[in-house]
Amino acid sequence: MMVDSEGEKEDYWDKVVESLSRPNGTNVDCEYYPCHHQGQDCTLCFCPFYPCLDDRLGKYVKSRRGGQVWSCEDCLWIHRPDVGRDVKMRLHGSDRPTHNELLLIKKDIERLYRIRAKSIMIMGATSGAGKTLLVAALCRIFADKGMRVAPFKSQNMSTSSAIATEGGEISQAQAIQAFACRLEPESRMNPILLKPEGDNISQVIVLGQPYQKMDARTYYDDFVTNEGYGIVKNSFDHLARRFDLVVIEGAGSPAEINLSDVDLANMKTAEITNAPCILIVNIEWGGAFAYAYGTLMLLSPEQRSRFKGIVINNMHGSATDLQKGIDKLERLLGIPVLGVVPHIDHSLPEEDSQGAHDRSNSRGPVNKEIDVNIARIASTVAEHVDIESILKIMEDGV
Amino acid sequence: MNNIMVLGSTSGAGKSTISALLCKHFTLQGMNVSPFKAQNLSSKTFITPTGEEIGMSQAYQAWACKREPHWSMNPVLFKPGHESSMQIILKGHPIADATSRDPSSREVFMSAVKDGYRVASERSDIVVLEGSGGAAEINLSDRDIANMTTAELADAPVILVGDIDRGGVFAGIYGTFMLLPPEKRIRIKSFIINRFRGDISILEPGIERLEELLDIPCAGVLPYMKSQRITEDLSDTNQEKHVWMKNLEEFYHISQGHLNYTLLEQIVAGNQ
Repeated sequence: MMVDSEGEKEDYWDKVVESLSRPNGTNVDCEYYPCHHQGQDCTLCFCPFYPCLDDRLGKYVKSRRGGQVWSCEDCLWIHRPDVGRDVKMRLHGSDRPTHNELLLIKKDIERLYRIRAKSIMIMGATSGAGKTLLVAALCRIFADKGMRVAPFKSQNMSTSSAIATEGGEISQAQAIQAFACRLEPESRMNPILLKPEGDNISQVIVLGQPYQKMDARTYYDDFVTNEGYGIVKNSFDHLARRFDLVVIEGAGSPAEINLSDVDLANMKTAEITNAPCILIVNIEWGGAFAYAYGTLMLLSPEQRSRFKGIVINNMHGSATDLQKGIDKLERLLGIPVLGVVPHIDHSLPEEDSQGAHDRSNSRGPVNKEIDVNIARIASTVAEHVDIESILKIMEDGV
Repeated sequence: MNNIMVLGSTSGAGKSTISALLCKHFTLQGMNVSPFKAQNLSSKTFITPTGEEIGMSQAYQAWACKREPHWSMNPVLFKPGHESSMQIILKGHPIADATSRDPSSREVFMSAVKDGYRVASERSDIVVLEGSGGAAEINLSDRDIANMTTAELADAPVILVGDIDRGGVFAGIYGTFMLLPPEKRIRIKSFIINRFRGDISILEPGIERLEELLDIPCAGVLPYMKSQRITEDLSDTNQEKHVWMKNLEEFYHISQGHLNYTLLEQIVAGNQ
């Protein structure tokens, strides 16, 4: 929050200490809640590092008296629960540190909790390639490594939705992925949801709320080129300022060359998020090599350069027969096949199944079932996919 | 010999149905047509009047040609049995003790394919050939029998079919085409997009781009048809045949507005 130039005032530290003495977590009783976002952590309501002058977290603005004042109203990092907890622990019982000592603490903490998330994007050669499950698996795998992870799919077309914490509607797939991250689902994880209503018309849901009914042409020609871009960018930025890692899911295929100028959900999202990408292809129907090759080669060279690896999914039987094809594909495309994932039986709801809506919104035994499924999928993926290489891809970026 | 071969970018792309449409089309033009699928993997089979076993889809295609099914239409048939066993049926009759992995068996299969194609072509004015699975499985290219190997054996022009229902159809067709070696690629004269739903005007720029990239024309965009997949689980063969022939009749009628049959005739005549 913006505190004018109070940081230098004598009583500012008293307010820091007072806010640290309250219980950790979200303070829903505060009259300003939620000053940043639903579920924010309020432990550091008065930031001990103010003014940090870190331009990744805040900026100078004009003060009411005409001077310059450091504003950190857009800083979400300090409202991460892990940051709040850690800072509180380090300051507990100590005398007032100097500002320089505090900034050293901040620097130390930054190494543990990223100020801006890394990202990785999973795109499919077709729908049903296995994007949703691979994202859920990666969310769980990295969450189990101690990272704070969030899922993101800029645009989803689905008839099955779930209720986000703020009350809005998001696709059920992102709700399950949030669950894989051990988070409550929020609408920013799926800022645009298209619910098909037949005859080429979809109900467009933006940030959880009904926005407008549109046909495909209006959606692509008007919505995507105008407000769509900003909605995606702002939602992702919000997540990126609160998490260590955002695992992004594409929609359908990125190589629909009839839509390449208006395809918000794939390469545009990759650009907005500056994410390195992995292509997943379902081998069950045959033609996996052709689809992988065709998908990447129909993209522009700049777009193609975002792709750092390929995952072959849904393999029935032994993968040894594939080796010759894998070698040839790697040679042709110059990127590695990171793994061949076997067919996994699971009881997670299918993207468009009827009745799925009720399941994800109930609690208790169903959540337990989802958890068991996610854990199994994650361990199968971890066994067959080179997770170390994916970590490196995330580290290196584009 | 006049012929045309339908290859797919995946299994289930619609090869069987499109082959059946071609069978019907050329039969209606007064020609004596035979379907041909070198090698089939199916548990759904048909026993011909002379007691030979072939894949069910070739039986349907034979009926689309107003002919009795014949062993030559599907000379190699793999029939999955219980557990992981596989029965191998050559020229209509089961053979013992052969596995598809035995390198020497490829010679045996190829010889059955050659015999089958020779007989099918002797009995017909035109042969409509159907490939098997995806046509560019680069891990298996030296073991291929049923796709480009058959096209070369028959010296047939090829049309490539992609299923748009799952998305990625342009990538699938482009990738299949480009992963084939250039000398095989030149057989592909056209492509068809199958199972389309929605606003065709949104699709058109992609088709134009793919035509430019591959330098071959698109022979049509077929709409999604529910009845396209009705080939399973009807126990009575006569009833099944009746339903299927009715579906084909309807689909052929619809296809008139979507498939460029003139182009396909020119491809058969070798003018493309």
